[in-house]
Amino acid sequence: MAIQSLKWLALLGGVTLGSATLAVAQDSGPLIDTLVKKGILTDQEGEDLRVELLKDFGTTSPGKIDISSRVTKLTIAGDARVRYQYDNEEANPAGAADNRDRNRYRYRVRLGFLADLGPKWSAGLRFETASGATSTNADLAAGTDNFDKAGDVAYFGQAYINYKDTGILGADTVDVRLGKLPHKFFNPGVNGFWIDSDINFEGIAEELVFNDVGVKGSTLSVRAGQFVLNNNAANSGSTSAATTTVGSFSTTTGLPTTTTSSQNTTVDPSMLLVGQVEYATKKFKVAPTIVAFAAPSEHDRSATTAALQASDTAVYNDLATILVPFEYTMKLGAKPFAIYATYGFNIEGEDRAYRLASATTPAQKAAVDDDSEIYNLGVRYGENRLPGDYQLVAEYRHVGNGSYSSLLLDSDFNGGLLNGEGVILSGSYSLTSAITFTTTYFNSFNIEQTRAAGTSRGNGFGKAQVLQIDLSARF
Amino acid sequence: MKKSLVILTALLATVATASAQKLVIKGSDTLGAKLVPMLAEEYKAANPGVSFEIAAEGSTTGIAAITDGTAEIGMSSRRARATEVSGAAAKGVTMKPIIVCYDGMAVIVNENNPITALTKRQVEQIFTGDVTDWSAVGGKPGTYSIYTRNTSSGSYSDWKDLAMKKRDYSKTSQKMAGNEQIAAEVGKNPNGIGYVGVAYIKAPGVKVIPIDGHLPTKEEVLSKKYPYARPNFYYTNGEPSGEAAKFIAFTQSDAGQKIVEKIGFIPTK
Repeated sequence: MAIQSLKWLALLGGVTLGSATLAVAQDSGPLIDTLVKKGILTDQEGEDLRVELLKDFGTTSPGKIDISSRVTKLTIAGDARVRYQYDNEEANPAGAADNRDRNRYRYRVRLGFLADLGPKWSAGLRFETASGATSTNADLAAGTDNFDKAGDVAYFGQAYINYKDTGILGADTVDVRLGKLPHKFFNPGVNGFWIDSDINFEGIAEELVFNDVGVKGSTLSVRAGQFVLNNNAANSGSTSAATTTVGSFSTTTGLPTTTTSSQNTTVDPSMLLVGQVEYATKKFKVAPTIVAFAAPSEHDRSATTAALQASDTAVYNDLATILVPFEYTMKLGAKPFAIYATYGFNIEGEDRAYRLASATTPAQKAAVDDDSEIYNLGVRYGENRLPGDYQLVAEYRHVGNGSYSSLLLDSDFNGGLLNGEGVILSGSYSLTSAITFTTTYFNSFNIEQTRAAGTSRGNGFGKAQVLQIDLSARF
Repeated sequence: MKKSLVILTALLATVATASAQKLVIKGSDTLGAKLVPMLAEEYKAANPGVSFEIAAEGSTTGIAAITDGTAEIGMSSRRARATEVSGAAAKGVTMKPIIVCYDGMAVIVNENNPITALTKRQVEQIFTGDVTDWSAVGGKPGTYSIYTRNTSSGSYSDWKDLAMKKRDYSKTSQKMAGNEQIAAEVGKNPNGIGYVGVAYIKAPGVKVIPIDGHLPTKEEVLSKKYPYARPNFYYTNGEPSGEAAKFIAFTQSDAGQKIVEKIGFIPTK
């Protein structure tokens, strides 16, 4: 009896001292099996011990959390950041009167949950501060001066279902995402160049990955996305507009009869389509890409004439930009060093430039510089993983006024607008593996200096400078 | 005199109530289809005042019945899961496992199938759907028909743990209500394959396939050489008491274990 008690005490004590977690309770299964096989415990003693360990686990903090049995694994992760930001923006052309100079104290929080629901399915959810597509920052004291919470709101930044498989169309891995989703497009640049890193697309994205294509260790990834930019539901109702009925006259006044009819009742959604083929080895990546808008020709009910519709900047068309992002990575000393670049050209750039400049007449169009090129070139040295690590980045960007869409561009460079070029310098230092200090400076200038200012976002700034000083925590 | 009559009546009523005690047992079909009803019959023969209510709807229902207090004994062909044990503890219920017999989950195929042996790896490939044709494991060409238990069954989850490295069943697998149904389907289907407890391997039209050279015999199961061996349990809330304790003691007695062996399970001693 004494030996039995000692045996139990030793086993329970060892497990309890090690840790009182579920992992230990479950991992002790093989240990118990071995003890039973060696005859140290009887089968019944083994079973009693298993239950004892599991029962004890129920009294620990993690044991009190109940997660749905449908969830096979739950990952909780996120980050928090505090930022000082200085902005100086001058209207186009440079030197115009409305020079904006401001200091902001900002924060952001992102809290994500990823639930595996068996071997092929998972679902993701992420809460984010701020409602904008290209920003997750909330400003401190953005409301009144008494520390209210009006601006401190969490939004669903991501909510999607993910299916992963193998063997479909011969691919080694298949990834399909549906909902408001994080994308996988290769997009090198500070904060993402042609897709702002804060953007979570809405729609469906697919990826097929083929391993060892040509070179062992290489991957060929085929990616596509069909995203809804605007469901245009707001335009589903009809707008009454006065029209004159030809050949009809009032019997009382003798004047032509005026009636009302509906205008622009289309409800087709405006879509963003992205396709990318990436070939990657351990050292380089190249990924020819096309980004295109597919939109109904009539969008805005208030644009009741052909001229107004032609200059309606909310119409999502005139975009078919072909991009070729590239990155080469090597070791420089003990740290990684990368050169990256992207060259892109909008084959409908001329029409896009006209629309964004509201140029509808030949004279107006003649005054527009239809710059359809978008490109960047950058170098990156180091990485932020362990305490004491640092990273330095320098990048040049050029975004022509007909080259792309301000809906997608990095919002920190040139206000996320077209018609700008300039540099970005960034340095970051890891205080711990979770805490990073980062300083980033953006300096941009307009490309088309004589362009008249208008209401369109496509005009860009005359000059824009942004300084960001961040302290970030990942958890 | 009047007072004495009242006391006598009350005493008789108490004795009558006690002698008509009902034992509620719920859970595993593996145990509840044949073994426990036969044990109950024998027990009733020796204890005429006891009646039984036996519901064999899967191990999950047996463990849940102990947590909910709707049964005195829960039958289970699998171990209680961590969430079940901690969930019961949160309600003040202490899960007490009692091994009542052993089982070897036998792989059965149609008796006309030329296959004579399989490896653990091949079994995993078949039940997960990695391979779909008998020719992939040395058999006659033909697509497998896989028969499994339903999801509330302890055998369903035990098979995933023991034979499939916790992977999912093949999409084409067909879920059956009990061991007998699996054996019946495999007996009719030349391309059928399934798993049943050792008590069901004598069904007509089926044969048992050795796994890595081991068959689910008493010796192989008790020595733990057979890869798909497992204990079968009664679960109670803490140490059993009253009629439940007596029935469990009967199950574990020589007489009870003889019935275990007669039904086809492997006794604990």
